[in-house]
Amino acid sequence: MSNPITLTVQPARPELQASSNPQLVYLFVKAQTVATAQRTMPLNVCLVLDRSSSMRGDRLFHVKEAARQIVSHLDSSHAFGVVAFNDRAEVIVPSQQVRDRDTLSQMIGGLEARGGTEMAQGLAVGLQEIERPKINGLSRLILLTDGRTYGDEHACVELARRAQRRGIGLTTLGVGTEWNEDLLETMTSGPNSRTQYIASAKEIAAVFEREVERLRSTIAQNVELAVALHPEAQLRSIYRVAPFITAVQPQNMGNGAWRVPVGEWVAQEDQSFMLELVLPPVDAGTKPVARIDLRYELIGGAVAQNAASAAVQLPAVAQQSQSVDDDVRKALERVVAYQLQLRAWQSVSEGRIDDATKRLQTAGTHLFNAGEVELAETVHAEATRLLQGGPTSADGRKRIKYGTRGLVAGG
Amino acid sequence: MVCHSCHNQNLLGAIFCLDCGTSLLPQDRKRDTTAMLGARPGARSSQASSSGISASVLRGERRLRATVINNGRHINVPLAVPVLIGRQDSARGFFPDLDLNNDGGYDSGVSRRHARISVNGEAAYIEDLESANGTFINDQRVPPRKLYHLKASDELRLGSLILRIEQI
Repeated sequence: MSNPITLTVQPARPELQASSNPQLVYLFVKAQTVATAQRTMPLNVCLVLDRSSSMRGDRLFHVKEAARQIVSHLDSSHAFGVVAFNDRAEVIVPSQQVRDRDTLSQMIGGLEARGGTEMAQGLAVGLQEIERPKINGLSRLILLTDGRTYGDEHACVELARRAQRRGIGLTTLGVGTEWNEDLLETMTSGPNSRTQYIASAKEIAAVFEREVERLRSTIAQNVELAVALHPEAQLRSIYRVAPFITAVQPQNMGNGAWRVPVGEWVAQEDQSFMLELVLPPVDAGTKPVARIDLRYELIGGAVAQNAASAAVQLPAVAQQSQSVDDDVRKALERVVAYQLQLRAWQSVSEGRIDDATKRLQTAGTHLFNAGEVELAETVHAEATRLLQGGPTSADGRKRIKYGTRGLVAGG
Repeated sequence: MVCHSCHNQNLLGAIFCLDCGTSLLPQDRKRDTTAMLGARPGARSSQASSSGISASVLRGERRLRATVINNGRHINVPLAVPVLIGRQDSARGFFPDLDLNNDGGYDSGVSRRHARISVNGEAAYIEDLESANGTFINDQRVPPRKLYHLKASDELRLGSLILRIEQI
């Protein structure tokens, strides 16, 4: 298989401005997977489930249903386990190769909700369990919670980091509005990890299924963008735009070289990135702007380093055109909306309601321009609520926060 | 490039204002005025960007923004002078600039005088002030009385209390 991932780089503007001042340049990097005969990735999945009393009823019902559905999709090339936690953790299904689905489903059925929420206990036992089966594939902890854990936040982050260091990714799913988004986001800021908001319990099964499907179609790991710039240029920020928005941390390797680790790669899930560069002053003439290489290791069989490359050079002119590529603009508007709403919530917490309202209104306009009409309306409704002196709604806030990133499920 | 909405000075080539997000393209001028009806004319906010060279850095109003992950509290303090982090204890005369008493600081082992953040040029530094339970950057313990580089997106841990640094 040669180069299953292709790379294109689109600058926002067709020209640079010849100037004695530094300038900002946006590059939109799209990486697409070429259709290939798809192998199925062997998985080692351990569910870490909140069974505190608030999960009683609908939520637990749907969680059990979701867990059973996952089991029905796995066979003996996969491993599966379930840990449940309230004030303490209990192994519901010891991590094992999936041989007898009926027995596993029965074990899941025994799960009942009671007690408090101590997440670190659940994570610690989940980590123990997932390291038990010997599966030559992808390991992932999927943690679901609907509440806040108290006093063990630091332990949760440490356990998440330990897992990530051992190559075990972490997906955290928050149901309802009570969970601590700062904690879950911090836990999943490491590689191969993410947090998703599930607004309605009915969506739990679908979200679990999609996540397991994603993991099974992983084709590459340790994916990395290598960006080469002029030694005096800066890679000021980089955002992943698709499949979901998140800030990515570039590492400065010196002399204009930057490394951007981006984790695993799922087939048919195109990724795109918005790069903000600050270039030193340039005079007229054609200038090389950036060279971008994508490096990755293919999964299955030999671990091979592969690469796709793209280079950008642009003419610097005295009067730069104001036209902006439409694709780049839409992507940029989504990133700006995401940044604005983050700062709006910060302003709310500091009591600066005027500022928050203004930011949300601008975010709404950007979302509307980017074609996210429904989300734009949610943002405007929340801005109006603020303007009328009301508190923001926990649901609206989470819907906006995860909606702007493309990480929300349920109606 | 000056933003017509918030008057923030943006770098050449910027498409959206780094501070308020308004489009800087001349062809969008009309479109954005409707969305910005609520804006006070000439209002200048001290907000800064989430990353990189921020507007406030350019204006010399550098701030520390961080989130306490236990309770989601947002911290926003100026960095014009070094910031002392700890727990206030009026009886014994401890008055830190950033008081973590209400964030579970006592239970998490935050000392009354725990650490200090200072700025030198572009870089920001943290110094552990011989705290009882230590200061950690991204899980690495910082030896006391030495300056260590602190940057946006770092996880700063005081005892077992974690602050996520969003801007510095």
